[in-house]
Amino acid sequence: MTGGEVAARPNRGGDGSDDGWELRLERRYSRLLTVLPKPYREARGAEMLGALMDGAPEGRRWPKVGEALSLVGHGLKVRSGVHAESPSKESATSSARALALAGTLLAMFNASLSSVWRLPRWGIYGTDVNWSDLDGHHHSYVEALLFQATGLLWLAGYLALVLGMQKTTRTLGVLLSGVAVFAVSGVYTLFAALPPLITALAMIVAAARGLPKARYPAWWFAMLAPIGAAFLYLNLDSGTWLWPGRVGTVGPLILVAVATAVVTATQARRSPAWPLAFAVVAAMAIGQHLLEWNHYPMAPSVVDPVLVGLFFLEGVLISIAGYAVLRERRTLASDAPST
Amino acid sequence: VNSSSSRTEQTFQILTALVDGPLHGYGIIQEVGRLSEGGTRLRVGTLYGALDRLSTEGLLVLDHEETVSGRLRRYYRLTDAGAQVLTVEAERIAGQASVALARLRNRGAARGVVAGGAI
Repeated sequence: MTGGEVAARPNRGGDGSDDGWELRLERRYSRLLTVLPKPYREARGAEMLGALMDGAPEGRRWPKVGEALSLVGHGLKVRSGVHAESPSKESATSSARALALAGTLLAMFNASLSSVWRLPRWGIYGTDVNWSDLDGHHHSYVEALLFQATGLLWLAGYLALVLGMQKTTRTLGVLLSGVAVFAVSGVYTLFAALPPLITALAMIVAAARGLPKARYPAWWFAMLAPIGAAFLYLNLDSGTWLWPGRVGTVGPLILVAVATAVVTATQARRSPAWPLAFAVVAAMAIGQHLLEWNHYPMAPSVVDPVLVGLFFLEGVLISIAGYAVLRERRTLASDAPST
Repeated sequence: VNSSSSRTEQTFQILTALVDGPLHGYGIIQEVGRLSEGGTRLRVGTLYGALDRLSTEGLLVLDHEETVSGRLRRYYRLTDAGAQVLTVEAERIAGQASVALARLRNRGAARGVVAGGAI
């Protein structure tokens, strides 16, 4: 029997006898208990209903207002997961791992937008889209070389994450954090350095206590193909693909955002790790493009329809991530009563 | 075991109610009412929120259950960890109370001296 059901007991009601009040009250309390999620009700409902009925004075037909408010408050807490245990360290680590994987993919994509091959001409018509060099205009050639090389470090970090190489991932995380901090030379570069810094820190956290190998490494390796293709294409191209008009950069960004929205929606019921990672990485990607646009006089307005679309998608991702977190906490909450 | 000093008064009272033996939900409500001399009237929603939390923390466990007049009653028992946390909390409160009382006595004595001096 659940709290949502009424106990079938002999001589209780509905027959016009004096104790009909009890059945009515029990039904009303049962209805009130539906404010609790079903799994919780199945675990606790009958017991709570018993406690409510034990405390009911003779002849009462309606729930006490105080009890009703208390049940509604408890229901809201259980449904929102407020009274549940905090997510475990394992959950935090797996979120960090998801963020590190998605973040390194983004970093590699950004690195591929620049060109190691065109490095000697870098600074002449190089582009700030090259986020591995952050804001290269203001760095020396040696620094630029270091930042260009970070593209390879991101690739190494990504492979280490996929293959579950704990020490390598941690070492590269520390190294890349250092590069990101080193690149900061002002407010603009500070903002630009945040995405690589967040990703590198996620690598360190992910590898802090063991690092499992990716479940489908072939799938993760396959993710490198479009990045490799972009790298080759952009190096054959003169780079105009990246310049004003920017359909080339925004189009794929929208595609990636839609794809991540779909993936996160399917993942949200299992774990908040990927929804959180995608929400953060998409925010980083949008933030980087905002910075880039802001850096040039031909920057589109913030009410540009493409930007509005990206913000909308980011809102969707954040909503899915929020739902996934609440769902996990609610699961913890519904597990809690099984003492 | 979390022996946080920020435990609510109601949590403290629930743990205290279970010291003498296992009680079911409504039994805890009644016992808390008695201990507080009617000062605390636990609501069922509040009680079960606290029971969930305390069970998760390992301070109390399900002892047994029975059905009385078709109603399920689950009896909860204080664990050793729960008794330890309650002891720490009770000593903390007692310590604070004795400090407060001592200061109030000193204050009363000082006032008496001032009043006597004025006369």
